[in-house]
Amino acid sequence: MKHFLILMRPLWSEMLANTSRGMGSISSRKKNKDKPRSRASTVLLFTFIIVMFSFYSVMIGIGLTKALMVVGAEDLFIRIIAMAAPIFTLVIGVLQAIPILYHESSLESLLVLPVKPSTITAAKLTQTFVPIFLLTTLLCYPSLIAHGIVSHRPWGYYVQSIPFMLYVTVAPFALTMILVLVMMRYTKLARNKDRFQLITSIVMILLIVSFSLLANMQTNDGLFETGGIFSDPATGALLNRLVKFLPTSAFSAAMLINADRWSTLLHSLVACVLNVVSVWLLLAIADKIYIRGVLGTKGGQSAKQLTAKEAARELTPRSAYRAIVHKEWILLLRTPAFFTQTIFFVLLFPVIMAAGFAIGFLESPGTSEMGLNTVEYLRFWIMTGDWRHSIWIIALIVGGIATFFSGTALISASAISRQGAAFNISKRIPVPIRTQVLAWLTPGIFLMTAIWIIITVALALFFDMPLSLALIVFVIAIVNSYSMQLLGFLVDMKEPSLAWNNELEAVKNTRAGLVSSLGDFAYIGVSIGLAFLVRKLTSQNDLVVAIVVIAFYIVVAFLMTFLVKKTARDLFQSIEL
Amino acid sequence: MIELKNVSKSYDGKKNAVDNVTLNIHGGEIFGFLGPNGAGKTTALKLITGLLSPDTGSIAIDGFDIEKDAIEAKRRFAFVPDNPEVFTRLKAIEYLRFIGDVYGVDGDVRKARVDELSKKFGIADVLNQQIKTFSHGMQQKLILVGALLHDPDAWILDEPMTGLDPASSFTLKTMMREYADAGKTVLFSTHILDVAEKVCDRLGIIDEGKLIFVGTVNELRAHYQDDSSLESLFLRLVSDTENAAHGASFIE
Repeated sequence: MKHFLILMRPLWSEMLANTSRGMGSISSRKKNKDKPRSRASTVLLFTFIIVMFSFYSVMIGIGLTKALMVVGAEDLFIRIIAMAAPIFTLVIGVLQAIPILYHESSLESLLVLPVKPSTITAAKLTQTFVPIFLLTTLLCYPSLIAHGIVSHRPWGYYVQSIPFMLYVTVAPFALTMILVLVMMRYTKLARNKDRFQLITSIVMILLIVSFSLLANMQTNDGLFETGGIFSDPATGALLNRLVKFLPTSAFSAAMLINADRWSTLLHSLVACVLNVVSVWLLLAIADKIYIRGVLGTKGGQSAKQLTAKEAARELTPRSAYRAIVHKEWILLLRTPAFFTQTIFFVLLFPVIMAAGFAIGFLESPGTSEMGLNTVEYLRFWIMTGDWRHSIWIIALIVGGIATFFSGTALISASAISRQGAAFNISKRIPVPIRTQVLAWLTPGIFLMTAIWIIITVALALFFDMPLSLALIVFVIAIVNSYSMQLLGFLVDMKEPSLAWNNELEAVKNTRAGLVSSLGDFAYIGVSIGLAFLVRKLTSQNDLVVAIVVIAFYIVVAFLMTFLVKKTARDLFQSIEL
Repeated sequence: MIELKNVSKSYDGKKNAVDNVTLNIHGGEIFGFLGPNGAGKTTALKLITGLLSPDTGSIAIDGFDIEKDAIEAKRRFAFVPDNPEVFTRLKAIEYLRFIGDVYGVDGDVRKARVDELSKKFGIADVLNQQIKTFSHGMQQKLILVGALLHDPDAWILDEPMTGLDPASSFTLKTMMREYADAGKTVLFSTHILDVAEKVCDRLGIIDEGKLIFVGTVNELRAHYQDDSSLESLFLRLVSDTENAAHGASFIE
């Protein structure tokens, strides 16, 4: 325990630094001109995020509980949380734990210390687990409290809800980590950690997507009125069965459901014991197998030697611009953290959207006066040319989606941070800054353009769109996508995260990521506000509203281009490692 | 030729990491930068290579100002940092191609130089491997090969012997000599005084950001009228400087 606490001291600081890096309290640039950044702004941002998540959590808690109460299945809400919390912890936790346990550059300095491997494992996993646990709690706990109030739970419920979050998350995380430790030690996966991380990341992301789609299906069934799919007896039964596969969740759920009976203490005790046993098992196994036989297997299979002819071909000259773009693509494709957080996400997003819309629209019953379902109505609306009177609505919807999509895709917003310490190379090479900036932006702009071409063609074919409408959709999407990428890129240049220990830090928790993700909501809000303002001022002249909205998008795009051109050089010069 | 005029740099706005340094390093010479830890050697090299901007003063490489005419200045030197900074997911050959491209090295020249230099430094067999599989020393060798690919006029190295095996150290020292003899400038920082004594034509000793000596080892000996090793002269000089109120600097 003593060694664990000693180890946790630096790791705790590291964890806080990683978390607050995104908020801008720690910066790697301008050492000479650093002024202490306002703690108030960091606290304000944290507060905003906490309030935002809590608000959504409470709303879901109230809405879902009320809906389930209608069908007399309010206990199901606790089981939903008992399932969702460990799944969320696992999905995010495993993605973070693999690099922290096996890839971090600072790892070797810990491993030479005279402490047991289990102590190192415990410390490193605590470092991984605590932030994820806090996030899970932030997402789930307010809704549990809201549920308790709405469904008039007894006081014991609130007391038992305190350990509930720990009970449902610790054991699944510990048991999954045992699986990871065993796989890394006894399979060939350890020899190619990149591939292992890539596969686990993709599997985990697909799990999230499946879960999101499942949740998405319920919204079209009028979740808040009828309880959605969760009120369906078959789904409820399935969920009840699934909970049994996670004994800690089953006992923890029973603990809350029976909070007004003495049996709650028994359920609580069993859940607690199961968690303690899981952690003990993890540490016992870690003591035997953590890291031995895993470190030192650096490179995967040895590459074949190049012949003189191959070497000559590999060295064929290109322009500096093409060389930088090619390097960017290689790094994006070969680095699991970069690939999953950027390219894979960009490829997945349209699929999720398409699946979500398809499930929603195709299954929806006829709602219009003509008895057409949503898809049929949209086709009719396009065919008759009525869409021409609502271009401003199309502009707002497409612009909003493109902005959100681009704001969450971090290819351009992590272009500087991804380079890490090697950013010094970019500073040293005799290539104009404008060329370098263009090259860094190229992968993001190229990928987003390609994706929007595919989306537009798919929409055009599906809805029988005329060419003019397809072009409007494409142009609006591209313009907004471009603006958001430039915004993310500028913020990343201003506050890069270059001093990272593992690659995930370069694409997660960065200030650029935060600004892009939150900034897009502000931008969408402004464009909607502008549209309604102009509509009011022009007595609902839809053509003028459409022109103003599209002009607004174009002006923002030009403004962002101007800002990048004007400030890129100074920002580039000011980045000091 | 590398020229520094009244260059100062402070990280915190209070203490200068490099303090009013003026220095000319000529073509055809190997110039060694010596100094205790934290003396300002790496900062000085980062200023010369444009990685940091000076607060005051100017730096020129072959007459091109590193701030005002950065691209032309950067074309004329190669820098080898003390810690290998490299895109580790690239293969060695991809890294060398990247360097060849950004410095605009002609196709035939780059093939010949990669072939020659990779054999010289013993990395010809691993060019097809990702750099992340390389040891520190191997990465350092790759950066050395990349640095020499465009045949720079000035070669700037920060603690270049760190991590190199004896054979590669010897190769590097020989190459530095060959470079200087071909009329080019070699500037390097080191803690290894033996190497400095044997390899350098002139030395610059920096302490607390100030350049306290510039000259040959013999000039230092003459100053102290002492024939002992560079190591003892260096320790004496640094100690004198620290004891003196304004430093006991003497610059040619």
